Amino acid sequence: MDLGDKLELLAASARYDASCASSGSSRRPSGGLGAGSPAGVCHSWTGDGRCVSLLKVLYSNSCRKDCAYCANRSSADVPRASFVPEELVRLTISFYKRNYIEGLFLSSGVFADPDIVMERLIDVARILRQRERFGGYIHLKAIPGCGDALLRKAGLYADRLSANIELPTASSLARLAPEKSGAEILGAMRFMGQAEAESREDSRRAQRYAAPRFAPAGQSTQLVIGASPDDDRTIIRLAGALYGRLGLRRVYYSAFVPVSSDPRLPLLRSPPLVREHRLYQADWLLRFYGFKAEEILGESEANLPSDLDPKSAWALRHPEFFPVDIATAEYSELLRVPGVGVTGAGRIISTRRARRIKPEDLPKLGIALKRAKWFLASNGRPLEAAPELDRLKLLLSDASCDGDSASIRAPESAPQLEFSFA
Amino acid sequence: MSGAYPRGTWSYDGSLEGLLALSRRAYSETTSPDAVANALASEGELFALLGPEPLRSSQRGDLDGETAGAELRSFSGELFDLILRIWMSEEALELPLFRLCAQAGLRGTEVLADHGSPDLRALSKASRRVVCEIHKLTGLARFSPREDGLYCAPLEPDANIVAALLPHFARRFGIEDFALVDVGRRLAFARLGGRFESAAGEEALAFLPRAEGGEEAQLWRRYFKAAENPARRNPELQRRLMPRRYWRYLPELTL
Repeated sequence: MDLGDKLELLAASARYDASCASSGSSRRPSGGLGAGSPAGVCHSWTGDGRCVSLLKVLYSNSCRKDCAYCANRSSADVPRASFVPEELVRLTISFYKRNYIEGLFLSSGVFADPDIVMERLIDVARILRQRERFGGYIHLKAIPGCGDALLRKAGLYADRLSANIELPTASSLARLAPEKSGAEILGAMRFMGQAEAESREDSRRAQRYAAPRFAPAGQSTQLVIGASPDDDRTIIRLAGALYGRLGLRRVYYSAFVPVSSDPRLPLLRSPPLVREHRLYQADWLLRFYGFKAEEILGESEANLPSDLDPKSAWALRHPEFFPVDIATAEYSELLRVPGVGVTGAGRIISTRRARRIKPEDLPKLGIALKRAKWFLASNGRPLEAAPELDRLKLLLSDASCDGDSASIRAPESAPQLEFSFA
Repeated sequence: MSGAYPRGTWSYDGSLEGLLALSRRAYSETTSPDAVANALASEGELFALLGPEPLRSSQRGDLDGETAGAELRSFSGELFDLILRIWMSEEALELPLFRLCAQAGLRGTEVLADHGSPDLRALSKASRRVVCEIHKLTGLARFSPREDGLYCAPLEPDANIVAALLPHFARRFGIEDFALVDVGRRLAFARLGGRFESAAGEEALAFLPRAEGGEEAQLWRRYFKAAENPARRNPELQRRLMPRRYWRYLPELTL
């Protein structure tokens, strides 16, 4: 198999990993080729609308494990291949120089003992950083079950580390990926979180980077959506705990793409993209809007509504919170208003310092009045009286508000949140 | 030559130096014109070339661009950046810009927080477009090596932003040389032997590599195709995030 064939196969094997970020690293210039860009850079978008920022490949698609949902499971009848480190180094450097990528995202099937697999990934990163003096972004997958010393070493070369949980409950893991150990995955995540926090603290005390930072862009994980019957409440609470307790920078959600006819899997005609989109919106509320995981769904709700964004759904459940006055509301209160984003709330606060804001100014500040008008007040008077609840819900739904139709394109024939488990 | 314009009209040669000088005038005199004549934009490049002397700005007593820029920057880095971006945008926004500068001279930096102001809104919109294009092209510039090993990227941006991309690529290339060529404006900016240089006209286009791609571009095409998940196909989203006007120099989207 030549390099092009391997690249094609091992890129296709890695495309189910949703992570593509190259942001968040504070790595200093290496003196050689490459430098981190704190905001990250997208270098292209594939035909599925996903950003290409990194050369995302598997080191090997051979795997000992037989996870039902995985395209690379041991029982899958697919060609197998592995890179050698020099091939990956050449591809990374030559693609980087041409500005095709920000760096490398390297994962792997577990083709041998976890320590051996992790060592192979570290080898590639070590050659890039030490021999090539490569200063671009490196994201390495942590292979659960490998030793802590290897994780520590990986974190010194990589900008970001990740261990994918994939399934949000122990029972789903036992059912669909019985050879995976939840304890091992969480153990690796805990270790990486602790090492990152210690490294950050060391840097703060030293006032300068006396030693290389451990994974300066932190760690992330991924959850597969729709392969197991776990509801959104479970997923959101898990994400909240991962952000709050383990200090994760990102949780990615990947709509399950059926890759086998395993009877343990649901029968879906196409990936649950709308559900994935709603979970990303909920995740946004957790990370930037000051919501707690427990607030995002009502007590009696297990799943996010498919026709309404989670912030609008929260607003409809909490009429007592509104209207919020544009002249006096705190930033955190403004963020709770449908149609008011982080930028809009910031602009209201800063403009208010210069002069009084009139309702007609709001669109100029980037406020989507079409959604916000029922939740805002000016000088104690609501901008518009809210209609009865069912009508308001309809008016706030994506169909009425010109939602982001391209990015949440609903598969015509695939009902969301429906399972048919054997 | 400035006498050809009506009273209340400020004129300049379309250069950044001229725009900075007039912005500083508006700020320091807290006044703005009724109209602006951008000689380069209204009469074409030939006008500037035929003029008896460069029309940096039309009034004696204006500071030179560099000094004016330094004064404006010391007043507010935010205002200075806005002026740079308005110049890069090549949009006819001098009047709202000078009005904003005059207001800044009167009221201080608080005018930059008044997002309800129609002038600031129009300027911010143009500024955002420039910032977005700079960010977009940091990712979408595609370099190819020339025979002498120099990596060069051809670009055709909407705004005049190529010089603004230089710091990003200087960090990215480390100690290696590179060149960026604005094919439409026939301008090139390069780092050669560690020094920054610029060129215009045919000299700029001479930076371009004769052949593009090679084996690495072929490998990239194969990677790009394999990375797409067919079950999630959404070309509409792809086009929205990566408008077709940027596709010309992307090997993954050209055959």
